[in-house]
Amino acid sequence: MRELAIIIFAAILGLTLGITYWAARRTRSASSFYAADASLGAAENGLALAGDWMSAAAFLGFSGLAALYGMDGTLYAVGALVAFLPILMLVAEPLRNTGKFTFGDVIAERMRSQPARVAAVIGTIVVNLAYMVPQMAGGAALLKLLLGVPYPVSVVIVGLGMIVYVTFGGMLATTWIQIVKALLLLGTAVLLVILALARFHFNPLMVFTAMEGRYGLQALAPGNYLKNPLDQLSLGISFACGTAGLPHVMTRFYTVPDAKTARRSIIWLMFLAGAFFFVTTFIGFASAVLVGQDAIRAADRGGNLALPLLAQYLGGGANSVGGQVFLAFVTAVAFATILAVVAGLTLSTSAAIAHDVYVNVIKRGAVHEREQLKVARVSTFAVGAFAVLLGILAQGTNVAVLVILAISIAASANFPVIVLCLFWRRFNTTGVVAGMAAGLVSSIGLAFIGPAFLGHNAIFPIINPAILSMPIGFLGAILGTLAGGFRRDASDRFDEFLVRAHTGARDKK
Amino acid sequence: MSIQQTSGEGLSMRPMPSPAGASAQSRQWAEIAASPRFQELLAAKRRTIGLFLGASMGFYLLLMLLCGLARPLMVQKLIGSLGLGYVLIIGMYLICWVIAVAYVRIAGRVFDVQADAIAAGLTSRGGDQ
Repeated sequence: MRELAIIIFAAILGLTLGITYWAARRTRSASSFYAADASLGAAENGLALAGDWMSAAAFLGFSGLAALYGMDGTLYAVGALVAFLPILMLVAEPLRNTGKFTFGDVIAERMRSQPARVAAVIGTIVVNLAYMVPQMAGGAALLKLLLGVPYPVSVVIVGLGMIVYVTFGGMLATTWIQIVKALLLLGTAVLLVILALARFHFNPLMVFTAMEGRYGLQALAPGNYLKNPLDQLSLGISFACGTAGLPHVMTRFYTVPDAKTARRSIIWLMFLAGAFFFVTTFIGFASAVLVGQDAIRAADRGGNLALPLLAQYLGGGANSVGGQVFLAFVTAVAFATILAVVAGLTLSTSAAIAHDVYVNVIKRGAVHEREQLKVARVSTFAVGAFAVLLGILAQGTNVAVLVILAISIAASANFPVIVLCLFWRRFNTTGVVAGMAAGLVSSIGLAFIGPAFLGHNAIFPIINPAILSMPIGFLGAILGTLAGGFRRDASDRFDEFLVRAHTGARDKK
Repeated sequence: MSIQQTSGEGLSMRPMPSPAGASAQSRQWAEIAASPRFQELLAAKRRTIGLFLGASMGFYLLLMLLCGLARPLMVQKLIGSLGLGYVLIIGMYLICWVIAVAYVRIAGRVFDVQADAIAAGLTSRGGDQ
């Protein structure tokens, strides 16, 4: 079993390193490093987006939550799809038309001020690190489980992988690793669903009946995990708005040549990742019925191993060759998933530091192309090393909490700023800074005094703080704007920004 | 993207060259922004997005609210063990897919045509820097 697992891991690592070598030879400028020269097609970018968005939290988490808690797990999954409607209609196109590599670019293009860019950088780094650390911890836990490598060593292996991919291969390597991972993941899901359906006479309704028969009607009801009556709504708000505020998702729209391709890549994502999210509930229920909730809980308290355990069961059980092959393969795919996601996060974080802070804030744009690429690589290495350190410290913490935090911060800090920036004429630098600060402080503060950190002693009753912290973020941005006063030139610049955002005029030179 | 273009954009982050040139340029942008063609594009977008996003998000947030406040109703059986909640969730998936495809079609056939016409007008007048 261990030898087999090592062979599969080695094959995946070898494939990704091969991609990196190929991509490294094509990465010669800052534009190719950060955005693959804006040359990707809709299918490529759509698959990469799907690979980016079907994270370990989705792959292992949604199915595990459904297995143990019923409908609440399903609500997480559907939220992850709904999240792309606002991105498709509100954010993707204007973002692509006005920015170059980062979230900070859009804000700076509109405000033409350094404090506004710095605020966007802070939002980027905080959200990305909060999102990255749990993924790394999850990847390390998988390595430890399967190969028996000690936790800190596992984190270093994950970290080294992502540093090598991004430092040498930039956006092109990241994209293709995400594409390969998306295809592996979708293939695995199709196989699992077919094998599991065979156990239920190819009638999905029977899975629901079996679930009810074994665990009672309550197992299909909402409220088993998200207990407060407003928890579900807050989760929905957080997904719908937070995803549009995730900097590593925004970055993917800079890799395509025009708005039309950006939209079509979202369609690819919505059908591929959406179909995958759709079946996570089925996989979770099948696991609960066939493997049993007790066995799932015994393997991992949070239910994160429901899917690997189902694969083992469908392969023939823990003591069979088939079961071991399936388990090793699914775990290796989960590991590839994590590598692909952390690579995207590393790239987006290093772009914020190298492109936004160093090139544009410190050097005011006067940096030669070759040096830009060097700085990008150095900052990638530094970001990766820092994330490894945080990952090691994160051992033993509840990683799901950090994912909630990341997406709530994005909904409360980045989302209000990006929306007001795109659509409100009077919005100004003071508003950007105040909105970012209010969103960050309120979402982090409320999460700390909420059930995720304090359990039953929570002061704030709702797990996901976005229902309150997002309005606070908007309020901060609006009050800041009013306090900053009206400026004629800023208002004039909005005309240019608006025309560019909606026509893509910049590219028609 | 060429090297010249990259460094040129970097330099444009510096303060505007001369107030007179800057205001002439921004007057031009304001003119386009106020033009009937551009206003038409914005209005068309506002109508479509308002309807599509409003309807889908409204359904979604209502679903989430019901799952919080009307939990017994959500397990009311409709087809076998499949309750109302799950039927609504499946509906949500379908709504997402249908609305996304419809939006992309309208955007490609209507918005892109209008936007390209405006952008083409810009280039011929040399308005884009």
